[in-house]
Parts: sequence; C-alpha cells; structure tokens
Amino acid sequence: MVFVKAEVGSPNYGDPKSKFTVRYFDDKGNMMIRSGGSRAWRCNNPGNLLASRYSMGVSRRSIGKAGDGVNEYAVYPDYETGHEALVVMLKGGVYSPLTLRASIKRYDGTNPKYIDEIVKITGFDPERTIKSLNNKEFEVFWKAIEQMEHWEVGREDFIEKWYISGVHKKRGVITEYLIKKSDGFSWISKENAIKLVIERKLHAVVVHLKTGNIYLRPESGSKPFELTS
Amino acid sequence: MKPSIKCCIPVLICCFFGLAVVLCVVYYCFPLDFSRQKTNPLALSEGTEERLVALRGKLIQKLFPGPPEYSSVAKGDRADYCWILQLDSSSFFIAMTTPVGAPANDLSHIVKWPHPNEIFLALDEDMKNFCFEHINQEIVSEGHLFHAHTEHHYTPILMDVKRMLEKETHDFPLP
Repeated sequence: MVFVKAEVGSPNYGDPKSKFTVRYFDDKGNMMIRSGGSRAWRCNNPGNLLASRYSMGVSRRSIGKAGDGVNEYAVYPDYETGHEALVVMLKGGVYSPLTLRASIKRYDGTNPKYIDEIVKITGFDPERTIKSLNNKEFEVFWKAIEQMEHWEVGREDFIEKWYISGVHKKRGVITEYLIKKSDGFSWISKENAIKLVIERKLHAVVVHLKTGNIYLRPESGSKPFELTS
Repeated sequence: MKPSIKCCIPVLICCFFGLAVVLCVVYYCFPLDFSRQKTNPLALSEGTEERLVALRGKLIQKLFPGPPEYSSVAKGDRADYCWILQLDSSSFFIAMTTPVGAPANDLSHIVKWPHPNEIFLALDEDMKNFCFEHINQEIVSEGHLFHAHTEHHYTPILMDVKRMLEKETHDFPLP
C-alpha cells in the first residue's frame, strides 16, 4: 500500500491527547489507522522530527503532519522515507561538521545521558565529527539514534473505501445504494450510505440542499451512479 | 447639465469588464507561484558560518514532560528540567531575526508557540553549576541559535551555548 496523504486522528478512548492516532490514505482513499506503539512508529518518523520547513520540504517527501496540539510531527509514507529525512539532516551543513557530542547536544539537549548511550552503543569517540565517519560508521551512528528515539510497533487498522456501483430508485428518488467491496456487493440504505461517506468509508460526496434534504453525488471526475433494476 | 445615473451605468460596466480583462491578462502572463518562493530571510546562506550571538535575559528552570509521551510527568513521562532564558525585548528581536542553518519555519510559526520569548539553552555539563548559582537572575548567554526541529525541543528557538556570564561582567557587545 502506497500512502499519499496523512493526518492526525483522535486518540483512542481513554488515551491522552499525546497518544494521537495517525490516519494514512492511499490514492484510492483507503485508510490505515496507526495507534499505540511509539510516536516515531505512528508517524513513520524514526528521528522524531517536528513538522517544519525542513522536514516537510518537497524533497523530504512527507505526506502530512500529526500532533497533539502542542507539537506537530512530520509524517512520512513509510519508514525508509522517514529514515532518509533523518540521514539527510545529519549529513547536512548544520550537523555534519559537529562532533558527535555537539550534535547530540543540539538533537536532544534535555538528556545529558544521550551521548553516553550513543557512545556505549557505537563505541565511537564522542569528539569525532559526523563527517569523519565512513559509511559503515555513519550507519552505526544513525542506528544508535533511532534506537534512542524508540521505535515500537503498535496497532494498524485498515479501512477499505468502498465504491457505489448502482442505485435503486422509488418514484425517481434514490433509496438504496449497491456497494462494491473487495469481498462482493451489498445493498445499503441511503441513511447508512450517507453515514459511510461522512466516515470516509465510501466514495461519494454528501450534498446538503437548502430545503434540508441530503443526497449523495459521485466524486468529481467519477461516472454517474447507475440505476440497477 | 447633470449626467444621469442611467448614462453612467454602461460606462461603469465597461470599466469593470475592462479591468477584469486586464487582471486576467496579468494573471496569465505573470502567474504568481508562491510555492516557488524559496528565499527565507531566516535561512543562513549556504557556506556561511553560524553567527555567534549574545542574548540577555532571566535564567529560569522549567520542567517539561519528556519521553515517551511528552504529556504528564505524573503519568510516567520523564521529567525534563530545562534551563531557559527569558529574553528581554531587544534580545528577543535578535533571536527572532538571526538567520540559522536550518530554519524551521517563518516568524509567524515561531510566535505561535507558547512563550516564544523563552529560549532553551543547550548546555555542556560544566555550565550547569553557573546556572544553579544564577537561577532567576539576569545573565548573558553567548552561542549559536537554532530552531526547534526534534521532539526534544521545547521552545521555538534554542541556543547552543558557548559561554554564560553575569549581566555586569560581560565583555562582548550586547543588543
């Protein structure tokens, strides 16, 4: 599944705001919700980078941001892309001339033990600069950072977005919709279809008339609903 | 002879359509593509060294809930005691306008943070004694500024501190 868009979802019942969920969407509108686990995993952001001009730039290929209202994090389509954002940052003009100690002081100045842990994991001299590390050593270094940043897998829920493949009409008014799912077809009432569209589980647009009536129309660029006898 | 309102209406309509046509031509000939505006006044130009700045303010210590959830120390998050410099207005202006290597966003993004005039001080271990001795006092801190970019950054602007001095004993130019 290739995700093209992501947004924050509400936390699961009983969880604090900071335990926000992340909704990923593919190009067909199918949704995957990540909950639990670590924030780095929920956002596919192993470096825990905040959403910023840097982490959300076009070349970083982030697909959205998510957060708890205080901080917002860049969300990437997969681990590899999120990992690349971290690597590019460490290899960039700001971090690469710094020693490992100085770089960690910037990365996480709140935790004085961070550099000790990095040294323990890597065995490197903390006074070496990042740019002095060869490819293999650099890999050991970023792996140590990702380990410190904590990557814990949580729960993934897939929600397929269905299509309307036909309608039933009574006296010219649509009363039922034929829903195409991956495992077959089923008829549902207009009320339930509207509910599904609002929950983003069905490809259609809800139209509210001034009279108070509500109806569904096909999404822009889609074919009109077909009448099924 | 007074020109009647009825006579003016066709003229006004012609003017309106004329203006609309001119605007359309300008829009299509010179499209304003804001996404192409890449220059950021807060960005340090490539190859330029970071500026060493001296900022003045009150040194305070603040507690932030740290990993894993950054929401509540009482609920098990790590207690992150951070040294913060509450900048005076002139230092705040400098902090806001100093170009940095990897600018986070624009100024509007910085001022959206709670207490944007507070900067986090990234310290070496040997500087902490000075901090404890000067807590809640006016001090001067010298170092390189950078913008928040990881979840460990609790203020929009941070300083990689090189040295700290009492307000009276500084020997470098102040704002």
